[in-house]
Parts: sequence; structure tokens; C-alpha cells
Amino acid sequence: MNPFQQIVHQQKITALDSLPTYTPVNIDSPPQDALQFVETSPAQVPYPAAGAAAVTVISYTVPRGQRAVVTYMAIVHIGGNNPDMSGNVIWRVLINGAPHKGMGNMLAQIGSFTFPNKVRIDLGENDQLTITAEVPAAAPAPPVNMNTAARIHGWTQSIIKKASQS
Amino acid sequence: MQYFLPSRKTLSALYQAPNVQLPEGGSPLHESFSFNPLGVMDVQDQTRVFNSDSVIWGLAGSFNGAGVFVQITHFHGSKTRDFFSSFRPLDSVAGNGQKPFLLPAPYAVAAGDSIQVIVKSLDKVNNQVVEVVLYANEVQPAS
Repeated sequence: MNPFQQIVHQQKITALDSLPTYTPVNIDSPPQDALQFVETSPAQVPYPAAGAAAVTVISYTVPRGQRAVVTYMAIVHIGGNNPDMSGNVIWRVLINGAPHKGMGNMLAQIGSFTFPNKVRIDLGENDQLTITAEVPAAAPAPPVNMNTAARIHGWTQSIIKKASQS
Repeated sequence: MQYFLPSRKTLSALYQAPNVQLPEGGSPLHESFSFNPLGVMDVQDQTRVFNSDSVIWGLAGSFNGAGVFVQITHFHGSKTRDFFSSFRPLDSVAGNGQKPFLLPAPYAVAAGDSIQVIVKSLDKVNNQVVEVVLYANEVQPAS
């Protein structure tokens, strides 16, 4: 490496110190300028036929100019014959079509509408969070009176304001 | 008449990619992140620590299923930087072993920094074998 290259390299290394600091968000005390939101399935969603394409239980898109943090989540089965851990129903939490860590193959419900589970899912501008349900081809066909639904709680914050405050 | 041509930096300013243009004295440091297997709709991550100042200049990756999303994060002390604004399809941001995608400019990593690669499977049926390779060179002090 010649001296000129060394200078460029040192400038780049020094610039690393100006990178943003990772600060974990306290999900129970969002920033003062945050806006709370709750998104619920518009209606109970019937399970698809065994082996059919997944159905969307809930879909939430982060508004333009905002970032979002999902803080609570409930994904529930409605009807008798609880399918938890039977493998007859697979729920997935997807961000832009890709799974969220640990939530790509869920065989059981998460929380309840009365007591949603605490989660932490960071979303960027225009990110789309979807929760889907599907019935594997090898599973028995779900009875017609069985449905699923979901709800998410969270908050959004303007990324423009955030940038100007930093 | 005056022509305004695109501004071009000298190759030495970018000290760069093809091996013949890399700085003398630096040894190749190709960091391979292998995910074998990456389960159905699974998310996995791996982290590597760089023991010396390095420049990352290329990115390659492969998978054998329906698709993979990837994010690469650089940790410098308490500071972080994501390579991409969000998770991106691996085949859109990484080349292959023969033709790795070159970064627009070499990316400097200080000794002691770490790089984390997170991959997300998009395959709902089969496990995948996924590999992400960062092509880098260690940087030696000026002689």
C-alpha cells in the first residue's frame, strides 16, 4: 500500500466513528413523537384448503416517511379443536415476503386478543408485514367453522423528524 | 466548446478490485459464511471478526432453492451500518465465485470490527444450502 492509499484508508477508518449508534428501543416507552397504531384482521379468516395457497390474515404497510416498531402481537385460532402443535396449521410472520426470525414456521398461536404477546419487530419505510396461515397438504381439511385472526400493536415515527433531531 | 466528461477517480484512489490493482502487501481475506442447511422459511445469522484492517471489495453468494434474502451489518464498536436499506434478494446483490459483484468503492473495516450476515429462506418446501462470501484484502501499513 502506498502512502496515498494509506491516507484514504485511514480517512475511511476514521469515518466509521461517525456511524449511527445502535440504541435498543424500549418498546414500552416509545418516543414522544411516536404515533400508536393497532391493526386487526378485518374479519375472521377461514383456513384455506389443505395444500392450497396461504391466506393472508393481516397485512400492514408502513406509511411513507415513517418507520415502525411492532410491539405486541396476537395470532389466534377461532373455533374448537385447537390445532396448536399438531402441524395442521402453519402461521408465518413475513416482512416483505421473507420470514421474521423465529416466526417463519409457527405451529401454535401467539398470545390472545386479551393478552397479546410482547414482540419487537423493526420495520422501515414502505415495509410490508403480513401474517399468513396455511394448511399443509398432508393435514386433514379444516372444518368450515374454524377460522383464524390476528392483531398487532405498535407505533410509527417520522424518519424525517428523527433525522433532524439526531 | 467545452465538454464535461464524467469525473473519474484514479484507480489508486479506489485501490481496488481485480487482484492486480489491490494494494501490495495485503493478503486476500475471503470471509465465507456458509449456511448448510438453511431450513424451510428459516432465518440464520453468522458473525465474523476481522483481526486486521481490511477492505471489502466484492460480494458473492449462492443458494439452491426458491430464494434467499440477505442483510449484512458492520459493527464498529457501538456503531453499526447496514449494507442494504432492507433485506435484499441474494441474487440481486451478490455475484458468483467467478464473477463477484464489485462494491462501488472498497469498504474499509477496522481491526476488531465484526461483520454479521443474516439470511432468510423463502423456500416453503425444502432446506437450502446458502453461502455468502465477502471478498476482502488485509491492509498493510504504508512501507
